[in-house]
Amino acid sequence: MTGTDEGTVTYAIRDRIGVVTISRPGRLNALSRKMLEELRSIIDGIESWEKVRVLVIRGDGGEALAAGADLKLLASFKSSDAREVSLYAQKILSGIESAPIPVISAVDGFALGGGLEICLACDLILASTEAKLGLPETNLGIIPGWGGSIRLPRRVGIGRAKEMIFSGRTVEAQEAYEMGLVDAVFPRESFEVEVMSYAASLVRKSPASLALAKSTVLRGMDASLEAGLALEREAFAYCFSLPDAREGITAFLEKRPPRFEED
Amino acid sequence: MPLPGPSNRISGLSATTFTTDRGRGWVVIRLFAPDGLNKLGTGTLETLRDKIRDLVSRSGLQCLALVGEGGSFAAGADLREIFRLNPASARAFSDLGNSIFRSLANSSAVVVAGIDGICLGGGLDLALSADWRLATDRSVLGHPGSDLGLITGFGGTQRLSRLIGERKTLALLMSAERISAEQAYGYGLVQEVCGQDEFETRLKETVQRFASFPGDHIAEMKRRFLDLGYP
Repeated sequence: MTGTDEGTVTYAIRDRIGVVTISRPGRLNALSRKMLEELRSIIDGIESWEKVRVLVIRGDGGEALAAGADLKLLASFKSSDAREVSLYAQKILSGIESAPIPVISAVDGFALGGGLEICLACDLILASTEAKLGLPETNLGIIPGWGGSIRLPRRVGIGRAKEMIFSGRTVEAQEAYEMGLVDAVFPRESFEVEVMSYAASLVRKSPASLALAKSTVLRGMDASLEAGLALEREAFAYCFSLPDAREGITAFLEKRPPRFEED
Repeated sequence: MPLPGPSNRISGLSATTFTTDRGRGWVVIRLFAPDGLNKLGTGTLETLRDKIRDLVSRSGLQCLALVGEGGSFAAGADLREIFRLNPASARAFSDLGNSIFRSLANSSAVVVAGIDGICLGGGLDLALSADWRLATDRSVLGHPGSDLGLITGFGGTQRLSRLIGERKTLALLMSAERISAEQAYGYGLVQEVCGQDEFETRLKETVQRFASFPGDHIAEMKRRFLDLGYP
């Protein structure tokens, strides 16, 4: 049973949407070392997926995206191992964050600890009405080690991030939406359809615009306003050396939907 | 590729009119273009730049409001003009917008954007360079760049992310969604929402309130926020 016990992270491409599925039946998709390695090789390959315009990360089984890192794995750590695994996971999540395409995480059920930290590295978090999100690490005598303590405040503000991390409590979908932690909530019955439909709406957008918007906003937030404005100006100018601007503006003036094709 | 549509004319000075109301310590600039869209082409921006430069250099101005008339605050750049840009002229166009919006952000007066209707793209960037956004409940706000193969070039990616956070900004930029004034209020994007029929009254109250504040304090506060990196 080793294969099943260790879980899997797989991906498939459907209509230009890359779908990453986290699966570990009976264990709420808790992330093992093997699963992290599989996630890493998928994310490392993103740049070469020419046809993929949007990435969706989802959990199998309808109970969780992922209920965090495997606790057995965590319990076995010495401090030096913990540093190594944290760095390993952080690199994967930085890869998600800097991917040149929109990345959506779809949360139906639990997204806890490392599971929520994966979401926080994504551009959009879509939740089902049954979503439960939290960073419970302080209840285990540790702290979020995969970027959660840095990315959660950037998403919900430092006050709410401290409250969630200090208490370790689980936040339900509606509250998560109200605090800006998730971007939209859909009924559980239609969740998968809604997620794919949202992803499909992004497939029709200009890939150049999406990539430039993502890099300009994220890099700009680490810079001064003036340096950020300079980044934006260069990105705006760069648009006019790419075919998407010509197609997008022409389509608008001709009152038809744009068709942004592969280069 | 030929330019689509019947007109190659770049909308400019003649298309948009500006009117100005004044009171004690305040000025309201109103934009109106016959098509009701108040597009921000080069000509319009140059006129706006000169007007703003003139106003902010005067002492005693405590509140400057910008209002779009005819159903739009401003519907963004003129796409017929944008269509002709190359990277070099795009940079110059971005610099023109940025220089105006920077002078608003750096002005010692409180800058109010009075938004009644369409506020998109460069128009939203203009509103974002104000200190206070008052919007009527029929207003729609958004950045359509991802439908146009563009990103905005007048500071919106930076000011919006500093105002409402990088993640909500990315969601708005990527989806090209047009949000209502009420949603914008929920995001913290506008500070005040009112019905269309009370717009002029609320605008006047807001402008007079800011004009009655101790001027030095406002200027000092704006400077401190800017020093801290807030737009």
